[in-house]
Amino acid sequence: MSTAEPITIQGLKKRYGKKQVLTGVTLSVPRGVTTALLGRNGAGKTTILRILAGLLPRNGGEVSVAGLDPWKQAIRVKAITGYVPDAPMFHPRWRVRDAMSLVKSARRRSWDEREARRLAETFQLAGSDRIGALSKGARAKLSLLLALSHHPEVVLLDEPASGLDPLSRKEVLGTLVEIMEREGAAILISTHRLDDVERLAERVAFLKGGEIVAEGLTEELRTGRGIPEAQLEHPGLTELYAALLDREQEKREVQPCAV
Amino acid sequence: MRSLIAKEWRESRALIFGFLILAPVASVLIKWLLVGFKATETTDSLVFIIPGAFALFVFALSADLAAADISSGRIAFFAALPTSPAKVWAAKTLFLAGSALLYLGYALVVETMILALAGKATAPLMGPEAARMTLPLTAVMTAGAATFLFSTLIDRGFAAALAGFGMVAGPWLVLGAIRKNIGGFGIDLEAASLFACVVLIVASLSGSAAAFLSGRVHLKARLRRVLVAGLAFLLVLLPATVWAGVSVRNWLTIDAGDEQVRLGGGRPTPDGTWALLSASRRGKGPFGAPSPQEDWAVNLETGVVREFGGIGWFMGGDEEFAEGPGRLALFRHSKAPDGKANWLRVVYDLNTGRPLSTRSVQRSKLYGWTSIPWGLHRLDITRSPRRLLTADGRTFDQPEGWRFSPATAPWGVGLRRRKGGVSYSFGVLLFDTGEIRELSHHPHSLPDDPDGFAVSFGQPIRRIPLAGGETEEIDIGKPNSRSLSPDLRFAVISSSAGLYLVRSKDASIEKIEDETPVRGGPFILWANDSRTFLVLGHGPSLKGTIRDGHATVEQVQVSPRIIFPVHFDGSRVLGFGAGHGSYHVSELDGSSRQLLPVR
Repeated sequence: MSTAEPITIQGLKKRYGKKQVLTGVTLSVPRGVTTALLGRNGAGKTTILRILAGLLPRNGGEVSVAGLDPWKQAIRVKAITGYVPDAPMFHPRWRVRDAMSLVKSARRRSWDEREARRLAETFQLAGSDRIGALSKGARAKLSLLLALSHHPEVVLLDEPASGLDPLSRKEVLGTLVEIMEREGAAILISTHRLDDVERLAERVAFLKGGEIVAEGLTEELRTGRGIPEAQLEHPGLTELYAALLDREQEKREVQPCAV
Repeated sequence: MRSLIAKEWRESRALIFGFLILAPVASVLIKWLLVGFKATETTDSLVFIIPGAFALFVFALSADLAAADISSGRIAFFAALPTSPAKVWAAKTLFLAGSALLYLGYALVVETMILALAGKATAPLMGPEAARMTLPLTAVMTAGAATFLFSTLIDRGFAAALAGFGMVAGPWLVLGAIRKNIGGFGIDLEAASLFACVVLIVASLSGSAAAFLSGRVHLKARLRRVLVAGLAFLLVLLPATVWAGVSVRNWLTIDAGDEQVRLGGGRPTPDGTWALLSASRRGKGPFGAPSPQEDWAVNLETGVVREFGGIGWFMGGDEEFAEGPGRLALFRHSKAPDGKANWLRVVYDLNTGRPLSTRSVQRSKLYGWTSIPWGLHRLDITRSPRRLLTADGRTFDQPEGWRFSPATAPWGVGLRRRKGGVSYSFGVLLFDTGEIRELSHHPHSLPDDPDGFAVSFGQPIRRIPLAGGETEEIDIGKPNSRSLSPDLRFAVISSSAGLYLVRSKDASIEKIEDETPVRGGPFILWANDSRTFLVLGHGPSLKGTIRDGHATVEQVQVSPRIIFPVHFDGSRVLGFGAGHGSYHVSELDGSSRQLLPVR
């Protein structure tokens, strides 16, 4: 495992044609910490993850994954990274074992066959299952299995439980929590759901207007403690923070006083 | 790599199995319903069925090979893995190539079995005749590679197949038109087509690879893919095309001093200033380009070479010099717009090499210029029967069954005809009466008097009475060389018994020398004055002078030894020197000057 900071982003810029999506993102994700990247749809969360995964070039700034440039040293970055896209694409005619075989041959020695079988059992995926016949939740689990079976140093999850039913969400998120506790990897999750944030992430970064407008421990953000005044007054933060505070308020109102 | 190829197999196997069934079923149906089993020919299989089945398979397989993954976004699956895009592309390419070749073998085997069951000959499918499939199959592979390229670019399978087909079909149609209307510029179009196919295959695969890798196909940035692929395609296509064009051009271009050039022929201008040579290359050039030929005029004083190149140039007899000293008229056979043969007569200034005039004349009117010197007369070889044009302006058509021989006199011309096998009979045609007198032997020279004696240069030499009677044999040993003077008045004959002079006017023979320096070959040369001659020997040579009908000789030295003499002007000789690989102008005192290097 590398000794460099798992994820370091400094002044990241990205544009699609004339549209500037990221105007200067600065973020770091330490090892063993799960960080949620929170923002509305279209804020640029997926873009950041794809840049970190070595799938997109950047237009400015510095990005480092375990000390490596994810675009220029893409193969090495991908070897230590597990990436789960928001909409994983498989050939409908593939079977689960076909996808596992492809990833296994790509990852070679880092692939842990035992871990893969364990996850397959946990997610109730059989090798002979045809992917085209799997539910959305099952395919999401398969993506997780393929991304985590090689014990990555960096895990990038793009809305991992998006579109799943409550039971599947519980399964997927539960597994994620277990893995996070065990692996000690740096995990960056992009989401627009606050309950995912609360459940999974120790740190939260708010993305709005192409930049990180606030960053801090989830607990602090939930209670309002420890956030600089300037950040509190940021228009983007106000909106999301208000949403967080509202939820906190709701919980307090609903729950009886602790005895 | 194995798992990547296995992935391609998994995704394509339904298609492949379909084609495995389609090949035999379609072949049987075609033979049964369209052609009939009895009428089926093995060549149909070679030319249509096997290439057709192969083409359909290649198009179907290559169309979606990249397009399906790109359009569906599955390409991102691989992009996220620590697998180089080059490996992914290579797996697709290997799968396409391997599957295509295996399917071709399968189609060949299946067709062989069907033909065998139909009772038809199957040997051509496996034998040399199978080479007929080379060009069609190569064209199909080209279309397949092009389809794979477009599959990478436009990520729509059917459109990619159409584009790939169009990229090959278009030039194919153009080539067919070229072959039909222009004859292909004298190049072997099949060889050129095969070369073009190979270049297009490499260019298409290069373009596809570039689009996949540098074009960042997983980003689905179509314009970038197209630009990168187009650049890679051109980087292969343009140099190859330029190289091919330059290779053919270099082959067809002959320059003075080129050691690969073969020189031959050779005639002097009347003033002895220039020698006319033909230059060519042996064999066939790249893409079957024909052996080029040019006509050169070499200045015997300065060694300057004037090149008169191009296809179809034709030097036509003494008419070349009709424009006077320092001028050369060349003839070219070209095609007129109305399809009738046309002649171009171009007059050049030899000193500057520039054309002075060009005239186009229809063949039917080129009477005087399509004739060649024929002894004292001229012969129109474009007519059938040939027509003799006498020096005094009369014309005589070649008598039926006879051919004109080169023996001429002011009063007549020699004739010969085949009796059977290698036997000939001979005669002379008298212009005044039209009479044909048959002779016992071939007349090589004719006397001044039509009732005199002709001479036949055989062994022995014969004096043939033209008015009839016994032929007289004169033994002068075994002849090994002879030459008639330009005015046909004298002949010098070299034989084992010595050197002899023959006077045509009366068929008299005089011994010049007891020994001849010549051991065989065309080594007796005459100067234009018809009174000076040179007998080239392996050692010393002899220069002869005729005065009052008698010849005297003196020893001269010609070095280097000439093995292919071209011209003698009385004081020097132009020829191809032995062992030196070049044309020399040699003086009779042993000195010489090299003119052109030639192998």
